[in-house]
Amino acid sequence: MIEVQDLRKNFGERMALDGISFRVEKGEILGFLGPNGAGKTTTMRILTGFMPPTSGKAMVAGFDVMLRPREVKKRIGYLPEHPPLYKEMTVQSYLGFVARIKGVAGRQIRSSVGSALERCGLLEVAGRLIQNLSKGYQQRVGIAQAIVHSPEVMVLDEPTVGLDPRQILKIRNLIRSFRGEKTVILSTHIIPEVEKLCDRVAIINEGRIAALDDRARIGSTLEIVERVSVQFAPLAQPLKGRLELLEGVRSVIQEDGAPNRFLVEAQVGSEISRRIFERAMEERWPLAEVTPLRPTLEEVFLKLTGEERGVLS
Amino acid sequence: MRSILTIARRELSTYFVSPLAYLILAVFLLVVGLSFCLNLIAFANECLIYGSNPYFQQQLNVNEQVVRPLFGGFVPVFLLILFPAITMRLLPEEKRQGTAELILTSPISSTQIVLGKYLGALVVSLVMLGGSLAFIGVLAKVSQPDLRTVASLYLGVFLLGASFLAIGLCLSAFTDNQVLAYVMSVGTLLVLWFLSGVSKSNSLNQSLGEKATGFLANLSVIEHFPDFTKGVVDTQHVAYYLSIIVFSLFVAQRVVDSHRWR
Ligand SMILES: Nc1ncnc2c1ncn2[C@@H]1O[C@H](COP(=O)(O)OP(=O)(O)OP(=O)(O)O)[C@@H](O)[C@H]1O
Ligand SMILES: [Mg+2]
Repeated sequence: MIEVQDLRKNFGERMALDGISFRVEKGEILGFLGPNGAGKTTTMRILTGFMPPTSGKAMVAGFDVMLRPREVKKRIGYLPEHPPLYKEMTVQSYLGFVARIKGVAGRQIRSSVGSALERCGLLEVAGRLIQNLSKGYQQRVGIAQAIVHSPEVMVLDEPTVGLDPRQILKIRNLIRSFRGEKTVILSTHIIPEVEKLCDRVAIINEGRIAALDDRARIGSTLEIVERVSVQFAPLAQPLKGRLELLEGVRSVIQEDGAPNRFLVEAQVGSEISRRIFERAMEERWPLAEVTPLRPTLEEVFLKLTGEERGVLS
Repeated sequence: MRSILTIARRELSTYFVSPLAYLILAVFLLVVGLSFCLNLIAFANECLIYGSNPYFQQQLNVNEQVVRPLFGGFVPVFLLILFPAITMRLLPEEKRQGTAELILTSPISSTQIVLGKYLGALVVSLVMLGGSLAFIGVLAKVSQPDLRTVASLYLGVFLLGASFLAIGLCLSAFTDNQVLAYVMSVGTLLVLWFLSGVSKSNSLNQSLGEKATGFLANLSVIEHFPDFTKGVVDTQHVAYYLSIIVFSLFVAQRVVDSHRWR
């Protein structure tokens, strides 16, 4: 549904995108995760036809964004970083205006606006001026604006920013309800949001895709470190020293409040779980449990976007 | 066409919720009204004094003395100051509040955006001119103004105002600052205005040649206006204003389009 090839964008001397490529299949939800200034917004602006790339190609719904912008724009709903609101209009008339310029047929405008109002929880403020709404409600109007014409593809730049926790859940449910039916790209800084919402995750850093995979696999394919949690039987003599001697082990940490539970970190490819089992058999350790741990998305993110580099850029 | 109307309608609704539009309208009617009253009073006085004298009576003419000067004298300068205030927010405001990102990612062309905005501003100016027709209405109650003169006068003012608006819109495309847009528009219009002076300056006539100064004076926005007030609709003048409008809108469209592809 969306296909991006080697997208580059320079702002004068400054390189914002340095060869971004990815695909999103129909019905999928892709999450962009990345530090400030990584290039998420820039990528979205190119996809929606707001600005051209310096080089590279972007296809949406089978149309080239550069060559057939109109066809692409008809099919995209876009929530920019700052919701594009005409503050002096009422919510209802604003959505009516957006529906019209997005090409919704005259007869369907009322019902489109009505359903967008309902889906975004805006019915009770429909007649109020946007400038008098709170930040969170304005954000909801921004989301309503992106779905009012029932687009096939949605590009949402930080959709849940400024919302209260209940609204965040509602908006996430709304986005989740598009799964399978619409293609969604969203950007966020909230890691649990990606975990809860997205089928796939792209971690963007310094204008490049640092990792792109299924939400569940993104950690394992990255292979930062192998990690297991080892639980010995209660009252057994602690075997910390023995664990440390295993090949490939980098560190063994006793977990807080659990004298018999250890967190073992080992080199990638050392097959640490298997080694622990083998040694335990040989030496008859009172082993209770060995659990391999996947790196969390947060760890992956921090690892890939490296604190120091982020500060420098 | 539908998109143009949609944009124009939104512009209009914005104008008429803001105090600025009412202020512009009020000031316009005040000034034109003042000009009307002064001329009417002067005319009435002359009628009282000379009305009984058959020789002078022939020279007393309501069209000459009240209708024609309605938009004469300082009124065009005043329009020049007032009209850029209508157009100054058209494009800068979109950029400032981020709605440019909405309209530029919508399936409408830059031409439709520019024409929609222009149409909105044009309707505001029509409301202003329409309001001033009340003065002619008053006049028609007490006298018989020549409707041909009235029609050509209003066509002239409309074209003059429409050119001001087109130039203002065009310059507003270059900036996201309303004040800057206003100042640039008034400045440009003043320069275009004073071009009419060059052919009257002897030293310039000598140094540039009369052909050149004549040409420059022909570009002046005001040079083409007076004939309309005389009840003469010369296609050459109409063509002048139309080309100013088309040219300005064309440039505005190019600039908006370049924002999209910068
Ligand atoms: N119009 C512009 N002119 C110049 N530089 C720009 C412009 N827009 C973006 N940039 C630069 O491009 C880089 C990427 O910016 P972008 O807004 O895409 O980041 P982001 O991932 O959306 O960040 P954030 O999480 O803060 O929203 C930044 O270094 C930014 O300074
Ligand atoms: Mg951003």
